[in-house]
Amino acid sequence: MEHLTVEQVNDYVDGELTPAEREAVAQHAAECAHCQREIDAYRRVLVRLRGLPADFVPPAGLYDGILAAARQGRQLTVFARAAAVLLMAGGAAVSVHLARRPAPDVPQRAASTAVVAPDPSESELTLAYIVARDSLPPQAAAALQRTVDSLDRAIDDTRSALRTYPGDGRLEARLARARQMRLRIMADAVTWSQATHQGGAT
Amino acid sequence: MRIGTFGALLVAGSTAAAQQPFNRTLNVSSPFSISVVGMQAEVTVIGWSRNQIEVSGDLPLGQRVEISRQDRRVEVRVIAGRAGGRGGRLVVKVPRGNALDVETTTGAISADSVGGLARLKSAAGAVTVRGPARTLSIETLSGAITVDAPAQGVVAHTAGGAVRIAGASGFLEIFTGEGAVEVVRCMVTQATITTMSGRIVFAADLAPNALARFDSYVGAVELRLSSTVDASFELSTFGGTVVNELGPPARRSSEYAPGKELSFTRGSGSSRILIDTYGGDIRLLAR
Repeated sequence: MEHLTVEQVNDYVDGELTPAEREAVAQHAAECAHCQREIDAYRRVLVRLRGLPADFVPPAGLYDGILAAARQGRQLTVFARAAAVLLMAGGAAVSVHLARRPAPDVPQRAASTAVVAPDPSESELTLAYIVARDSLPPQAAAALQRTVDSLDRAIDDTRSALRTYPGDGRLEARLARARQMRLRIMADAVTWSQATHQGGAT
Repeated sequence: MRIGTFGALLVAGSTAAAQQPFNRTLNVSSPFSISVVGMQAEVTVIGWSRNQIEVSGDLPLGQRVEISRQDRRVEVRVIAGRAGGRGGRLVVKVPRGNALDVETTTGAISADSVGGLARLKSAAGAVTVRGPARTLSIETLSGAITVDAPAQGVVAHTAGGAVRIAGASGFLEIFTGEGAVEVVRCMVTQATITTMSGRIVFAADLAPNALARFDSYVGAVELRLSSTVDASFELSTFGGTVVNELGPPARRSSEYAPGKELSFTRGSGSSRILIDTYGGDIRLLAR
């Protein structure tokens, strides 16, 4: 089965396909787990990019890392591609662009509770993680992403519970722990990735 | 070249043919530290009583192994050529009781009776430790971690794999994303066990004044403790259920919120057990 192209995935999520094209992509995704994952991944990228602050500054070396990977011919995931687009176009401009742009396929619940906090260091780490994950062995990257997704759900769930039960100390502590754990896992992924590039174990 | 930083290049590249076996021996005197970088090769480290390091195994065509030494540090490194194949196997025998550091990308790691401090890291391989060891630090992203060793402290982190620790004593720090955690036949002074969705089964003993923390998002937490356990318990769950064979039932923490909590003491309350879950069920069972 031939997979969807990057452009098809992007245009589908961005709502820029004709009804017939859209139907064809949806039908393919329904039968192709790989392409459905790509679509889901790109949706998550959009959610995260929307959470970046307007004055976001890309982390030092991130662009070089993406460029080096591209030159080596390594396959970039949609996360890395989106990060590359963000970096090449300029963080603030893309952030504003995304904020204004309708994205009908991005789930509203996720969009309203974007996991990326406004803290610039957290945003930078998220982007660094997105690139780092791409260089890990596939099964390791998948396990890592499932854990990050699980933490995202935990953060969303806890925030939602806190809206219903504001001031609950245990929920607040749980939210803080989940966010801290998410940061730690992303930082670990970057470390593993760096070690891999240096020819070490990880 | 990395090897150039070392004082002596003891064995330069045994350029192995396809799966061709190799064997190298190096005399050493303890104490020393050994680092094994196995890349995609499966690495087995075995502690023995000789004052020698023996490196053997087989590697695919295009890969070779280099051994270098500087002062009291020995490094065994698999070097993958441009057309290097995948897999391979490395068996490293080392004098027991020295510091060990092993890293792989996808290769599994096995350490048997190494006797000393061990730091074992694999991105995607499983890690197994058996026999005498001291403190263990084990990290993997998707591999399982299995320890059946009288280690004096274990740190085990895995995002996708399961963790099983048996026979250890001292401190335990365990994290899994989705894998199950099982702790059996251990004497714990301090434990921090965290999971997102894995099930935790803790069937170990607590040393006097021990502190054990369990934190789960949606994974169940089951403690199978001695009926004579001497500890205070503090449990809370936002959406899970609580079954308690060791004390009173849990109660609602608030009339306005769905959480449950429970605090009680058995014996003098020498040790302290803290359990917190978001949606995971909690079970306290008598062993």
